Amino acid sequence: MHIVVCIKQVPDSAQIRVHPVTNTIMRQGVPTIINPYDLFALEEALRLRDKFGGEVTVLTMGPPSAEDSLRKALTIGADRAVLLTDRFFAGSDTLATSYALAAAIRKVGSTFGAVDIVFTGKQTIDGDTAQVGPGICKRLDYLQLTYVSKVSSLDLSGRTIEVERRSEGGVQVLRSTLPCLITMLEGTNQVRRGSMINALTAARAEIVKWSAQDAGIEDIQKCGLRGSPTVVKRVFAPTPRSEKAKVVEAAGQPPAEALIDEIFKLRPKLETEMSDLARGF
Amino acid sequence: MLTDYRNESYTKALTDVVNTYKPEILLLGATTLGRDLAGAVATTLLTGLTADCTELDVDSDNSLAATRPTFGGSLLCTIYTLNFRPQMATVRPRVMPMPERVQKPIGRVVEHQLGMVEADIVTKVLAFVPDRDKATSNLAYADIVVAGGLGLGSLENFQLVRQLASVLGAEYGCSRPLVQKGWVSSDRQIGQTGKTIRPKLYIAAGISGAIQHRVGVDGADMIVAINTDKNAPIFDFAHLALVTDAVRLLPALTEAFRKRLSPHTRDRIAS
Ligand SMILES: Cc1cc2nc3c(=O)[nH]c(=O)nc-3n(C[C@H](O)[C@H](O)[C@H](O)COP(=O)(O)OP(=O)(O)OC[C@H]3O[C@@H](n4cnc5c(N)ncnc54)[C@H](O)[C@@H]3O)c2cc1C
Ligand SMILES: Cc1cc2nc3c(=O)[nH]c(=O)nc-3n(C[C@H](O)[C@H](O)[C@H](O)COP(=O)(O)OP(=O)(O)OC[C@H]3O[C@@H](n4cnc5c(N)ncnc54)[C@H](O)[C@@H]3O)c2cc1C
Repeated sequence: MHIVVCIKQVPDSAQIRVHPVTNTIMRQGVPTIINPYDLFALEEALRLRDKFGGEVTVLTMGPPSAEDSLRKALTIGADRAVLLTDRFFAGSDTLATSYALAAAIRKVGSTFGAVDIVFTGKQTIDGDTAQVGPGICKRLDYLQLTYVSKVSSLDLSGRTIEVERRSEGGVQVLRSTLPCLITMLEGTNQVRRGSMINALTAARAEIVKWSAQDAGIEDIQKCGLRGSPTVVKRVFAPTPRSEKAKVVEAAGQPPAEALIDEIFKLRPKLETEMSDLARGF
Repeated sequence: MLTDYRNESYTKALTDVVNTYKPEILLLGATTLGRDLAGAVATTLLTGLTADCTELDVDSDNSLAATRPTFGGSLLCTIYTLNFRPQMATVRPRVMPMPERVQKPIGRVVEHQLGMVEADIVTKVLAFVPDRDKATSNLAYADIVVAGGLGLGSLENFQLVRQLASVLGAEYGCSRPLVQKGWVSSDRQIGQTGKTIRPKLYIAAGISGAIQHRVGVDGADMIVAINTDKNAPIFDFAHLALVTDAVRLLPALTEAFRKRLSPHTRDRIAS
């Protein structure tokens, strides 16, 4: 069995600062991490490999420095790492990103063995669109299984898979077929820690590095800024509300009562509405 | 075939409808279903898709200006889909007011054949297990919401929030750290990575008012903040401020509301 896990290197959001004057994001010096959601996808893939045998390939599209994240994934236990990197990819939106990643997955399949399952995270913490998974899936014409909390069974000879997925108001239990793409829900498994031995091999491991051409990408016009239908026109800070909160002064009254008086003074209709609500109407 | 949501049948249905009627703009809710479907449909149609918007506008030339929070809500960005149609966006639930029902609707319902039989759909639904805690899903739609934050100091003190909510017939919620501490379940979290609410009255106790919290409550008609720090950021966007210890105020507030609102109603104990 061959599983591909897509991971993205992202800035550690807890440490992002916005420039107070120019409203631009200050990326300098912000450490990067593997998108936290992708670790659940990687863990699930490793579990399936450990149970059924086979290989896990991690794939990322990004700048050369994204190699760090791939090595981290190798330390956690992946068997092979592919870095898709090319200046043509700069400025990709999700349509262009999924075009490039789908092409690379085809190439991974033809080079290292046919792919049975592609895993992605639910979403990233920077772009935060949750669109790349479905995008890759449609381009590969795989079966799409998003927001999966559990892979409950896998039958490699029968080519079927059963999963539980989060859906509106409950959990759907689905049976589908391979090859499929799974976007993994967070908190669904305990992500393993890399071993010392893995860390040593990972540090020396060869990372497969592909340019657009190496990955067999046919139409460079579909990549990067040019291949992206969406255009970010403006980035701005939320407008502050003009007036500050009115401070409730309890003039000889218990503060709780002063507050209630003030609420109903500003919103007179609330008093009857709240009385109805409190009575259970 | 469309009774249970499945990506295959829904993607085909929606793609066919778009190809038949060629809309300029296609909007879906940024729910689990909407995001699963929108990503698939946009890729099938090879058009742009703006994710999880909080504001929409249409320019004079019919281009859609879709605005979404980025970087944890600290900034907003406006995105256009210039040379591709339809212009697609998913919109976060509850960020816009519910419009009044119109008397004479001008829209009409058209029927469109799916053109698919069950055998065409590979994925089968084996079971559906509904969420047990039905009541919790109402937070986003509640008229009154009472929420607590880290300032309450303990899980025990958070019960004061639940008691006030219970007396008001309101829903209760919390800031993110309380979910991370495991005090409150995650579907009660309000903000950027939780629920967006639009109540008539929002009471926030011991919540500092970080931007990620603020984006979830900006649509509230009246925001009351209780905080010991008179410089807390929440006072920059709340309507009423009470600079005091919430742990002491909440029981008094619960009692005062109880007297004021429904003198004859028996107390419904917070569960
Ligand atoms: C502020 C901001 C707002 C944006 N808004 C939009 C928008 O509304 N619409 C739009 O089309 N684009 C948007 N983009 C561009 C988008 O972020 C990029 O296209 C990005 O490369 C992928 O999208 P994502 O981060 O949202 O990934 P998601 O779709 O959230 O990622 C889902 C999963 O796909 C996989 N994945 C994603 N990227 C990669 C990668 N480079 N390599 C390997 N695996 C990957 C990971 O497994 C990840 O967990 C925005 C970018 C920014 C900075
Ligand atoms: C990517 C990202 C997403 C996030 N998403 C969310 C989200 O969806 N929702 C969310 O809420 N947060 C979110 N956060 C976290 C957010 O940035 C804040 O850390 C969080 O909202 C703070 O919670 P708090 O106000 O309860 O705690 P604190 O910021 O610690 O504030 C506690 C407040 O209580 C006051 N206080 C102390 N004692 C008392 C007392 N006795 N009585 C009254 N007041 C008292 C203090 O003055 C202080 O203002 C997110 C952060 C990131 C990075």
